[in-house]
Amino acid sequence: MICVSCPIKQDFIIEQLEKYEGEDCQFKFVEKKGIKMKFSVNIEDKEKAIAAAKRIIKATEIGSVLYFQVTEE
Amino acid sequence: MFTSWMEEKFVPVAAKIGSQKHLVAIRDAFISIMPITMAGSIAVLLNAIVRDLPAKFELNGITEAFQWLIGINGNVWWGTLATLSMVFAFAIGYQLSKAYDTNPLAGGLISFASFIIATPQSTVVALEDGTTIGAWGNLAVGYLDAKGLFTALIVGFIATIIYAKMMKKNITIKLPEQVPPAVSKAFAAIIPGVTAMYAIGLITWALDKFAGTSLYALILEYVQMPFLSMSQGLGSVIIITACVSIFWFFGLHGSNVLAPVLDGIYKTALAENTNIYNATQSISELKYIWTRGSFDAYAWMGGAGCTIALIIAIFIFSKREETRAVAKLSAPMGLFNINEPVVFGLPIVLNPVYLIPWVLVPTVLVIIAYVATSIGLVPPVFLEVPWVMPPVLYAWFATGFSFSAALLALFNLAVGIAIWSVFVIIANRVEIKE
Repeated sequence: MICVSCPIKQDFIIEQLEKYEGEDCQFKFVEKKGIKMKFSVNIEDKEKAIAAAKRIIKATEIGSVLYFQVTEE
Repeated sequence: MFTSWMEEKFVPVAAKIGSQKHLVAIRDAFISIMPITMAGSIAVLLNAIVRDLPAKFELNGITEAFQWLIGINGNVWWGTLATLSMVFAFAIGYQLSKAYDTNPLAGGLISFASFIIATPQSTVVALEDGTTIGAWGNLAVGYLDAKGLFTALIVGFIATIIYAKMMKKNITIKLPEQVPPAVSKAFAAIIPGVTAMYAIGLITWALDKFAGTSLYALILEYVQMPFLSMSQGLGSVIIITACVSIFWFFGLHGSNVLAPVLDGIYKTALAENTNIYNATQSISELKYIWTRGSFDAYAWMGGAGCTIALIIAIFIFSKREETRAVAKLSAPMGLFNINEPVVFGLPIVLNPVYLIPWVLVPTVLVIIAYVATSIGLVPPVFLEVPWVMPPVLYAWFATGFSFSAALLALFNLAVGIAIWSVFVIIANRVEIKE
């Protein structure tokens, strides 16, 4: 499980991660609690999943100016 | 409800600014020249240690022993800060071409050449007998250092946009597919590149011929100087500081959104100060009292919001176990100005209890530091320091080992702790709903 913390654009972040179809990692939204959004991932290497999530969010126009944190749960 | 309003009205505007490709190119160009500015700053810093500091205590033996190092530092400075605008001209062309999805190497080279085209070719040389003569074929350091940054920026913009737009419209020489990619890319850039450079050449020539001036002189006088002068007012410093905090608070990357101002203007002031110090070895000659590093040295200690002060305040006053746990986890990274763990851990973002100190603390600290610098209690920041440099040490290094600057940073830290403490005590009594 990984956790993305961001106070705004949460639905946008969930949509971006869930629709990602890369071979390196798949994300499934689990729950939202305050600023934290939890996702289950299909790989063991959480660092790789965290890096992928950051890359996916930052690659979007809004993501490049969002202040967010991705951590392992 | 307020968050929804922010998402609908505020975030799209900030996102537009933050992701506007020309502004992103400026930001990335300044980021990409960081190794160059850092090497130049290290050269000036090392010379301050082995040349300027011993001279203050009449320890001339040290300076004598390190002549070899002073020579190396001089060479490094010459290739970095003394010719910074040339480096930047390439960087802006490269980043802008990338933003337009065209060949960045060609864009960088065209921008670089265009900057040289716009740079005055004649200088006045003083002879030993006191007379002066005009000399052609020189690139004077005065045109190439930080004073030329805005010229590099504007000329680089014009040239690269001409190049990129023509490339996009396929106004290029097309070679058969059998030709190696490197060759066909270079050929493709010929027509757009020649047009871009001739456009700059024409503007430069026309200004010289009909107005008796240079593009460099015009941009310096009517663009760079006004922007830099405006940036030096206390009001500007406060507005920038408060805006960065507000952006962060609402979940936007404040430094990224405002990077064109922070880097484009205050970093130019920093590079100019470095060069002035290198030339004069005197802090009293420094031109700009507030530079890019001033924010980090005195206000953003531990990260935006002076969160190292918050962490200390939590250790002293917080009675909430979970808050103390977050502070414990965040402290090691906070020492290196990384504050995501504390900002998201408490959290601070969108937390009404912490909104006031989050904006107030850095604002108060910049006011104190600005006043202290302007009345001469501390020297202005004139050396670039890596942003992960721990608080207090940052101020000490960035001011060429000024103890008064380090003391001011310590004083500001104490002020920050005092203000944050009030709100940590309030937070003890408030049930914060996530």
